[in-house]
Amino acid sequence: MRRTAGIGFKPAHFEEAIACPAAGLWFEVHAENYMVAGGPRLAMLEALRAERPLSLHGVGLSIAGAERIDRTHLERLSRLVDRVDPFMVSEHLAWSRIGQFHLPDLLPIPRTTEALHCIVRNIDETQETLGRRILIENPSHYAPLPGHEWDEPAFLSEVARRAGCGLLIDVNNVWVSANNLGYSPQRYIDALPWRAIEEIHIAGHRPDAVLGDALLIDSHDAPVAEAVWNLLERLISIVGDVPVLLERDGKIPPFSELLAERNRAATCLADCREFAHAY
Amino acid sequence: MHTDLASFQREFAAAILSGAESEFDRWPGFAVYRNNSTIAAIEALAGAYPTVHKILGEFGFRKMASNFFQTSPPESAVLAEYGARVVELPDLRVLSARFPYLADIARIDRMLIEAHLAHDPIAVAGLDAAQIVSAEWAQIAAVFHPATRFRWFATPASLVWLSLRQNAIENLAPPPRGASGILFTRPFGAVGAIGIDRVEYLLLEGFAQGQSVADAAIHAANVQPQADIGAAFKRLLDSGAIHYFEKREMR
Repeated sequence: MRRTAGIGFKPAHFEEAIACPAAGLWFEVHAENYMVAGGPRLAMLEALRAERPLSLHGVGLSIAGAERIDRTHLERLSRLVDRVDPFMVSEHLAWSRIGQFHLPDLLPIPRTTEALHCIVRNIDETQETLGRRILIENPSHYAPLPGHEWDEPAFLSEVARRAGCGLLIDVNNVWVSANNLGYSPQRYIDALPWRAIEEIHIAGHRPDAVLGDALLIDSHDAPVAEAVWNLLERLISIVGDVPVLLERDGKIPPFSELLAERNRAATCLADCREFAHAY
Repeated sequence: MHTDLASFQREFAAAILSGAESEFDRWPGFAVYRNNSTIAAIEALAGAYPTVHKILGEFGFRKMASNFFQTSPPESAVLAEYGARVVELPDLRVLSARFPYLADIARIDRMLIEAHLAHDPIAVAGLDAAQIVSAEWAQIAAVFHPATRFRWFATPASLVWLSLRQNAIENLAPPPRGASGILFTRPFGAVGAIGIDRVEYLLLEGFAQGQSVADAAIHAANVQPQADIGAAFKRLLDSGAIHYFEKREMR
């Protein structure tokens, strides 16, 4: 089955998700929600996997940590990968672990050559353990950290080149970060190493309660903004037909609403394919 | 300017956890990282302690959870497992005047999540009760389903917990008194909870300690001479707490 546009899976939508006849529909879950010993969560995931292609999206490997990957965490991820055989495994260009503690967020780094070495080492260990390539996602930024030696598209390109991984580009993250740090999202998209991009994310954002539009929050609790749809079309016109995922983690609407939004992304991909065949 | 990635990350993490003004606060956006981490931890704890959350209310729970996060951040990215030490918080004894045994209620919430996440049972060629003749029970051990959790409390925490799972907190007046026990099982996928009496608890405890079914029953009968041991045993069988029986050489 050709995988077109997918939806971030929510257990409340299980019945509708497995019954949905949409062509090309696939689902993605946060791996850490299912890295458990057993029980109904895993049973639900396996039932979903039996019906639809599944992607695992990690939020806790701390790929951009100065420390090496937590082996216990990686081995649990590896067991889940073996169990559900996802078509894609992805993680973030972010860190969250410090010593024995895990801070439950995707934290930023100064993009230095030292950080690049740590990241490549950690991706290498992950891919070696999982026995497969992974994708790395661009993060959302809220603060202009000092000390960057690389711009982000060039950094991602070098990570992909050195580690042999692919890239997952979240166009909502691009929009939010460009707004917050003051650069052109279009120029960022154009500078990406398009051959390495194998998945795209879209999601909603909201303005900060105090600072308003000066600080956008990657909240995943709203429909995708028009500006992000435009950015998606621009990216698809460059990279072509790669799977697109709609993420929604807050104020979850009925499945039918998510499906309608997902169908718009599927139409973008179909338009891209049609355009490609015109040559 | 940080000299290396490790120092930058140590200081960034310390700034998130301390909550105090730091060099990173010169950027308004830094608060987003602090808020995201704190909110994710609070939501994880609310998922793990739904009954404590109900008793304390949104404001009280968030305050307790936020303090807990700053002193005991998660040790794993699998947040469903976060917060085992909440039950040890000295604050829990004073946070609820109406339920001074809130720590026991928190322990029951914890048992629920443990039952939910436990291993699935492996398929084994064990015995079921119908295959065992009376004379054999002295050589028969009960093997629990991996999700089975049970406990006896000196407080009415189990009764309160079971009531609160079904009703609004206002409906629980007056709160019950006395000791109480609870049993979680997951025989067919979903987790179920039932209140257990002292005899049922003694049987389960005996099985858990490796006693034969007969020895556990004799001990329970000695402690509670008036009890109907057979009825208690049947109720435990029906609950799905026992995965299978096996014949062992008993001491």
